[in-house]
Amino acid sequence: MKVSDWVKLFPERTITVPCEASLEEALDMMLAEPCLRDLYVVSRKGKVVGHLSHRRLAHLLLLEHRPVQTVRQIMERVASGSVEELMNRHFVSARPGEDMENVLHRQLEHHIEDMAVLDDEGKILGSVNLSDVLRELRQQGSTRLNSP
Amino acid sequence: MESAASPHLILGILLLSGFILGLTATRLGLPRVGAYVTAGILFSPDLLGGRLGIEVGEWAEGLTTACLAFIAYIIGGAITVGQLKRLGRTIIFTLGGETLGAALFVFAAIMLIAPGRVAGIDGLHLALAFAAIAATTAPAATLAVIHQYRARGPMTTTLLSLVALDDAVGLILFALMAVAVTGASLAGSLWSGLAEIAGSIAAGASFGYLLSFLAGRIRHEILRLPCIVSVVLLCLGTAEQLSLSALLTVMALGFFTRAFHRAAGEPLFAPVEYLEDLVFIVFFTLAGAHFAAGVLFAHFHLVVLYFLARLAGKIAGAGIGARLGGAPAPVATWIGFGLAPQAGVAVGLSLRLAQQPAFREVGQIVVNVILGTTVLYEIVGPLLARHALLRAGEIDVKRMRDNR
Repeated sequence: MKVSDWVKLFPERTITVPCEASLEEALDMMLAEPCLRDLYVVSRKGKVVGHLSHRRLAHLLLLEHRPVQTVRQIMERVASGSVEELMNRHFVSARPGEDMENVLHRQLEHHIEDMAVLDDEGKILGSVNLSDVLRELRQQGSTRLNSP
Repeated sequence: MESAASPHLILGILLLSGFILGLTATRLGLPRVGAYVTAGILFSPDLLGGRLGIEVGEWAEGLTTACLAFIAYIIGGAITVGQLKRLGRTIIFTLGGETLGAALFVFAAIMLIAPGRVAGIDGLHLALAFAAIAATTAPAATLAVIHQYRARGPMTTTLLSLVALDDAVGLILFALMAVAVTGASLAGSLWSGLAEIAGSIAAGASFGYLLSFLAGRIRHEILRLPCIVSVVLLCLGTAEQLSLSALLTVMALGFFTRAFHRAAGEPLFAPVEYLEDLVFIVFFTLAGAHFAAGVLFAHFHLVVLYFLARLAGKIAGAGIGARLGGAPAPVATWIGFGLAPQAGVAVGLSLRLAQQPAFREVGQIVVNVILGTTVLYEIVGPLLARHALLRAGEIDVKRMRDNR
């Protein structure tokens, strides 16, 4: 199955936040979509420029509760910035023409729950949600995703 | 036992003993640093080391240098220009005050007591060496106190910033001292010293670009650590080959890697941060194995002098810096008391110093003095930090009573 087919079948909502958003604003958007675990940061032109996972966001916001912190984490605690400064610019994403199995491999390797599907301009078309994939496989009774 | 034991066997024994004693200390709620040092001391020449043929020889030099390089990389990558701008004037002034205060007080105290030669080395060089090490602190002990009492407020924030940043200043001071004093300098003149520093930063920036470029192309997470380790070692080796300052070069590598990669530090630093505790076990156990009761007691005056001068320098320097930076009065008065702990970086630097050709004769003195004071600071440091936070009104008194 191609990613483009998947996106048509599962037109998932994806969480996107602007670069200048604060961590608290990003958290509010993530909490509004409790089923989603990955947040994508977009530029003013709508291009996806970075990724922030639910876990990373939780780490940043709950640093005060960690008894052991590295110097990098202490700096993140005392001088935290906007999502643009704390996001990962080198994130993995999927293209519409790719096979789903290649995408799943990357998704598992990089611990991504909701992988963004981007067009040639880097704008978001949808996402591949790991739970949806597992549900679909279960329904099909197979370990491979069959084309619709 | 007549022949010396294999370096790998010695290292294995030291690390495992350190780990087991550290684990025991954690269970008992005691600081792990003391446990690691005790493990090393157990295998020092005066105790089991002499009987078992355990000797920390030249093999440890390369290991210590590589370990310090990873710490320098982590420290360099912990800070961004944006964060420094956001910290504001108060923290920058206090940082300058506490690091320079500790360095100047220790320098002046050693020069006063030993202006001539100590064990064949110029007193000036010895004073510079101790002064450079004095700037560093250990975040772990201070952080533990802040966490235990859930301290919060302007002083807590300032204190956290300082313990995170002053190791970077300490490494820079140490590198400058090495340029000025040791044979690591290209020629010894001011210009060649400046060229060495500029060269170190330029080399660090170049390797930072390389690491950022390579890391951006990693598609498999398991390749991340090998990539980082390779470039850190390549950078360190190049710095040594070109007679640049190794620590400054690797610290610049960390800083520029993060600047070029622009990925919030997590992917390129978290894998190495996992090694940090291992590195500290190596430092503390190796330093403990250098322990010589005779040397320590013969130079006990240096232990007392360094301990008091560094503490006084931190308190006075931080106080002056904080006042100049416009900190509230309670912060300016008490902030220096939270900066006493000294641990891994100081011990690592003392081991590194002992390997420098210019310091070989006093290497054991430096390691033993830093080791002795580290243990003292680990005991006194948390008590002083708690007192300072309490006096600044940033500790939940009810929680403190509950903890008793």
